[in-house]
Amino acid sequence: METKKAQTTMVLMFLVLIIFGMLFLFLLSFADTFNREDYVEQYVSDLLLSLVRTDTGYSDEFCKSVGNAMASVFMHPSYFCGTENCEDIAISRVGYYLDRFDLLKQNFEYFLRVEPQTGVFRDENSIPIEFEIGDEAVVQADEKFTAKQIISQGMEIFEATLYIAYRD
Amino acid sequence: MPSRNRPVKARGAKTLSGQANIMEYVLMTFFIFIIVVALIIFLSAWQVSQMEITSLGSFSERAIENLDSLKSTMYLLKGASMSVTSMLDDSKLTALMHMDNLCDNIEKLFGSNFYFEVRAFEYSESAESSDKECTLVDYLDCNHWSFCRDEDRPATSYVMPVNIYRKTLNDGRTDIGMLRVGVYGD
Repeated sequence: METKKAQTTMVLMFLVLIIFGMLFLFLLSFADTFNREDYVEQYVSDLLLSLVRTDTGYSDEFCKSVGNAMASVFMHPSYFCGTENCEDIAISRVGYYLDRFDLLKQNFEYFLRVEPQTGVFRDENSIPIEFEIGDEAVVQADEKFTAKQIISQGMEIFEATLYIAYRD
Repeated sequence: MPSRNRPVKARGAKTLSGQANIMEYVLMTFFIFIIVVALIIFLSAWQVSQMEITSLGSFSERAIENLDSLKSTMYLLKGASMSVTSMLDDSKLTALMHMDNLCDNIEKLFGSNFYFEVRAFEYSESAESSDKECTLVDYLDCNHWSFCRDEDRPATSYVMPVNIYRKTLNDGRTDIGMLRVGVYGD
């Protein structure tokens, strides 16, 4: 009789513990906090958009904005705006501007690639033109953030892709 | 003699069994009490930490919400429509900065206890970039607009890249910059 009573008490205690455990899990489900990853996704997307729209300081239509200069790397590879050619303008502006953003500079590595969507562009030696800046290893990183932006110039369309990944 | 002792023995065993029962109840009550108190302490502590997390999260959420609102409000964007988001107009920023009762008016639109600032980055050959607050006088030769900023108050802040349209004498220029929104946490 006494053994049965002790067993009943133990079972009751166990049930009480289960109820408290469930209550804990129920309360935990309300813990919906700010998602930092969403913020970084938005950040990298806005960064690429702003970068492409930024003026280079030249009024020439082939290199007026950073986006124009990127497109001209493919379309007019030997063209000069002032004393700089389009590729030098694009590389110097991208590097300078991305360096101004502390969040990116302190926590992330980046890789920027621009690809033509309407065919392959070749230089005078018939070598396909590529435009890439940064550390290509970022593309292979497990945890990375990606933003894409379309650049159109004349009849041609290019896609700029910015990858960022946390520094090791 | 043995017949006299028997009832005494039986009464002693019964008393001992009763005492053991009472002890069992006392111990059981004690353990249950300890468990309940431990659970109360644990749940209270968890609740407090949860409130702190929620409060920090709400500061962040508010900062992000205000970032989204500010980069798409017609009061700051270039042109009258909101078609070009994240393209702030420097003349609107400068005019807003010199508005009377600025913080009260901003509070009516975006809520209280927050600040925002815009910083434009102009390309230069040197790696360094200077920082100059915009006034009505040096409106073109500046790159920093600050609204309702109180350096002494701790705040949770977030940044988003934006463009700033700068009116020049002949035409206009699009700079890259950053919009920072902070929510005061005191």
